[in-house]
Amino acid sequence: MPNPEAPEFNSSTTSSGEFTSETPRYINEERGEKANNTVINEKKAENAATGERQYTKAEQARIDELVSRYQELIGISQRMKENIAAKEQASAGGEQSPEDPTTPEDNPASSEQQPSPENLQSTIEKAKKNRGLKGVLIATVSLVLAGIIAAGTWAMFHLNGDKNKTNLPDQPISTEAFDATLGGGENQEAKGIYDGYGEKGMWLSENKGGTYDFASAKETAEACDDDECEMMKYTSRNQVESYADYIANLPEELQPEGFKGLTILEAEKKLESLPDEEYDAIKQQFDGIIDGAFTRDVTLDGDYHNSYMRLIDPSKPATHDNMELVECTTHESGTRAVELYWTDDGTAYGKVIGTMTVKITRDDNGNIIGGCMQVVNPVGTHSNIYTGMSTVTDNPTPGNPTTPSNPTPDNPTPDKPDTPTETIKPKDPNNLIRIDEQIQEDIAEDIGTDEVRVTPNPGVSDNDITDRPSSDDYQGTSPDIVQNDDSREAEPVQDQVSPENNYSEDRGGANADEYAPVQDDQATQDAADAAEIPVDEAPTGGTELNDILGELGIN
Amino acid sequence: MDEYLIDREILEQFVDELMKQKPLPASTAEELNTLREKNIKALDDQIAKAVFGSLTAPQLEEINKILDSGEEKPEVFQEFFQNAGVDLQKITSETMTKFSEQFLGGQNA
Repeated sequence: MPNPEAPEFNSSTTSSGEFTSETPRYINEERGEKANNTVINEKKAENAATGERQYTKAEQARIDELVSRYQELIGISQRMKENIAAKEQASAGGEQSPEDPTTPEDNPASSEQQPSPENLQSTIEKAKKNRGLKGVLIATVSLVLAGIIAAGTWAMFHLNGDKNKTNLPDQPISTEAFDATLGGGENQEAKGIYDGYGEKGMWLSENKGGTYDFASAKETAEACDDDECEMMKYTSRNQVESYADYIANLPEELQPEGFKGLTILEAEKKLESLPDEEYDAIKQQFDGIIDGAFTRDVTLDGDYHNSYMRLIDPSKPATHDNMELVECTTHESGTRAVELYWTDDGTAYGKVIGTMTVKITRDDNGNIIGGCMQVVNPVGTHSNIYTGMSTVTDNPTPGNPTTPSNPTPDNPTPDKPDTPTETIKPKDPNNLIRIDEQIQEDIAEDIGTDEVRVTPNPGVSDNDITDRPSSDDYQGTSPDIVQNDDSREAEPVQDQVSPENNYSEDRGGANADEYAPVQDDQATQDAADAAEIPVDEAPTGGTELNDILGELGIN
Repeated sequence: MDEYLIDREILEQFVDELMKQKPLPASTAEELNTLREKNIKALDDQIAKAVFGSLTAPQLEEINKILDSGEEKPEVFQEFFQNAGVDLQKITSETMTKFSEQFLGGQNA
């Protein structure tokens, strides 16, 4: 208990320094308040003896202030309880689903007369069976829809408001109408379209169900036994647009002569201009390049350049001339994809000289479940290869500008950077990558697995162009891992708190009397969070209330 | 017939138009169809909840009585909503607009 008469300033406790968790949370307005409190306590004792209550003006003012604060806290507590009860009732009722745009405020009915969710659902089910009521609602919705169409307010739904983009179909057709233009296999042949194979680079699926169902990864996987490289070769054989997409995305040093540095459109035009013999030769070369790639699973997060096939004029048949590859930007969040990569020495662990990512998605069992056969690139990388393509901007996350993103391996090292750049190298403080490489190399030498296409060390990054040693440079390992030495007894933990930083006891000081110990009241924090009341206003689980009650002589 | 409150064809027309406005190029046909069905159902549910959720408990009880009686004349229900002060056009229009905003905003995709 400090001496209120002579507060001393202790130079070891500063008033402007950093506070620890024991630092008081509030400052009493008047210094030396404990002196007043002591006076009050002495007075109370005196009054208790005499049976009379007599307070000084200051004391009375303080009492009034405390009573007012007490009442305020009671009110806050009451509001907290009401908020919590309302939340519990709402969650128990389950009226609001995340996608439900209607809120109780939208409904004119007052909250007391709000029907229960069960009654609501029961009525809806009855309504579905009543032709009269359905008729009324159908007529209403039809009217609304007709109004939207007549007023041309579909424009408000346009993502891309630029109506000068002539590449967008003016009259998009429904899925059924589109399918009708294709018909079955016989009709396709009649129109010059061959299912699976046909004119150079033309490929369609018999199972087509949607406007954009070209280059489906799942169907391609079925044809190619889930082998990504075979899928790439198969798709490029049957769809010249995808073929061009792949060639333009190959590492430049691997691109066939005459195709180095071309955009996707330029590559397509060049392919289509080649005589058959030359076309076949390029294809053979391309297949060899793809066969030389290794693959690993990655996860996409962020915005990516992407592309898709569509009809230029949906009212016309789906012929090669009527199809185009369109650039778009897709926002990915945890999308599984496959990265092809090439190394300088042709082994899985050689120095990576280039990569290419395709949205072939596998499930947890390794089965290809879908995706798209086009290449994806983080926005801001390889952007030039999309030059000249029609574009349709997909909908990036509102508020988030498109930012460069990189595919991340499925099993990243603990120090995986959040926003990788071209120059980021993986951290390997314990030389684990080198150790693993050595192990893999030993295995390879032992059983001759050079031809095996494997999933490499997930700590390897495609950006690690300069840091990864090749197998020729590898000199052996001397791991710097610190192992726990269980033979030694545990050392006792020493109290590391220095005396001058020990605030566990009150040692006086200029401000010592002004502070009360902080109560680490997690329950108060939780309650405040639940009731959405600032924690400063929240009753501190009895601490402040008890203090006030104590001073008022109530408890 | 009983699966939807609103005629499915109308729902399809609306959802299909929305899906054209927001192309999903990376989806397979199966994924697109699943998404389409999901959104058709969601739109129907939201319109139903918006319409009947605008009624008070006594009003809901009243319409339940009409439904239980087997009445199927549209004008009876029209009169009911008029008397209840429920603007069906306004409610459905607002619901469909909000649905569109959510869909094109990415939440329903």
